[in-house]
Amino acid sequence: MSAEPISHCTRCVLPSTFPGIAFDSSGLCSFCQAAEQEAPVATARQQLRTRMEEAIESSRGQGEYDCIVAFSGGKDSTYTLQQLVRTYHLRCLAVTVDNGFVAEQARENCYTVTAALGVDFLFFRPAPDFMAQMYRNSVVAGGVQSPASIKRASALCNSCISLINNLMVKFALQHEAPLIAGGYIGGQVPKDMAVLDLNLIQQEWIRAPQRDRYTQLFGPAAGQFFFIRQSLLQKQPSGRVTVINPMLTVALRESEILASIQALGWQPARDTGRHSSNCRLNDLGIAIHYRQHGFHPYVMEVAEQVRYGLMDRAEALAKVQEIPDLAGLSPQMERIGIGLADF
Amino acid sequence: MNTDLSFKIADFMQKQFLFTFDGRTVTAETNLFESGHLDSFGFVELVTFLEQEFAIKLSDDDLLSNRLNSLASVTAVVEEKLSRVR
Ligand SMILES: [Zn+2]
Repeated sequence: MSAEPISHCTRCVLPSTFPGIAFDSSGLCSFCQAAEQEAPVATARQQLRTRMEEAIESSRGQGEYDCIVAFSGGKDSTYTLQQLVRTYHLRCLAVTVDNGFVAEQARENCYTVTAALGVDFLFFRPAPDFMAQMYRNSVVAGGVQSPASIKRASALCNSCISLINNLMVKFALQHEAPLIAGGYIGGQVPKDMAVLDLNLIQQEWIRAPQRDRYTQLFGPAAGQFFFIRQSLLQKQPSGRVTVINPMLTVALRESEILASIQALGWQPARDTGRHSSNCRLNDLGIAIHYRQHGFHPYVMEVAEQVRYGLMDRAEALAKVQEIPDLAGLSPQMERIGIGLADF
Repeated sequence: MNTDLSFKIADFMQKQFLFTFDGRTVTAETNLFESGHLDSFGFVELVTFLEQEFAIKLSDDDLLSNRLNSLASVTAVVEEKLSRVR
């Protein structure tokens, strides 16, 4: 009798369907094996925190704001905003990009939290037609994102993340803010994004092809979001902004994050599915991703949390094995103009 | 071109970025940003890999010069760095 095929890593829950994965005889995945070769995670986090704090200190007091915060109203960006204001005393402008699917409770959280923290707040909604077009083509058209992007997030999320990242750069330039902060957690982005010195001129050759692709696939309106005018670039004479993701420098369980932000009046949304605390489109992204690729788009970050002891394995397995039912997502599909035959 | 070096970098790229240098659609000369195989997240991962694997430090000039865009030119940049160290 042959042994059962391995379905998930015995440590971190990454599945055998994950791209490029391999397992040793004990069922430990190649990602866990590689992690064992790295410096202890606590040391790495401490080093990243030191670098981030140096970047914060050297950026303080230069522009209209110190920092533009990509603030979704979800738990991680709420915690991030709180930390930047209360721990680092930065002058922040919190910016929420409304993709048209922000849950009512999340919107309320945005206003409640920014008021509790005493920070300026901008609620920015790109034209719904454009957003629908972007989402639709992210699913329907091939080659919108790089092949490796499927390891990080769903196609819907990846396009939205690109849009938000670009918008934050634009807001940072407009307000002469040297820092941009996000609420990414471990496993969502490369660890080095805890502090990333972004040379906008350098980024130009990286982003130009992507921007051309977006304009081609999402229509000319994409230029508004993905193109940075020369005159705007010149507002930051150094040509640089620094991106920080403070959550990558701390070890926190979800329960600790929730306890901390509930003190600000933050409340969980009830209609955003298991993996999002702000977006009602997220479950559709997950369901489509699973159908196309055979693994849950959140598995990379969940696996990392388990690997570093921030989430229990059973809880993680439950999270990544529950796939939202497409049958319940037809309102979302209708809004972005896709049907079951499109993916 | 140093083939050992090139092989190591190609191996990393293929595994990490999920594509194949098939010699037709993607070759050592293909600009991987223009072809859509690499994005800004991938660039961060690539730079980290090169610096750690080969114990080199990429300067601002290296990053600005848009030379880190194909297998051939990435290999050339690493080769130059290593020859300067020796
Ligand atoms: Zn594992």
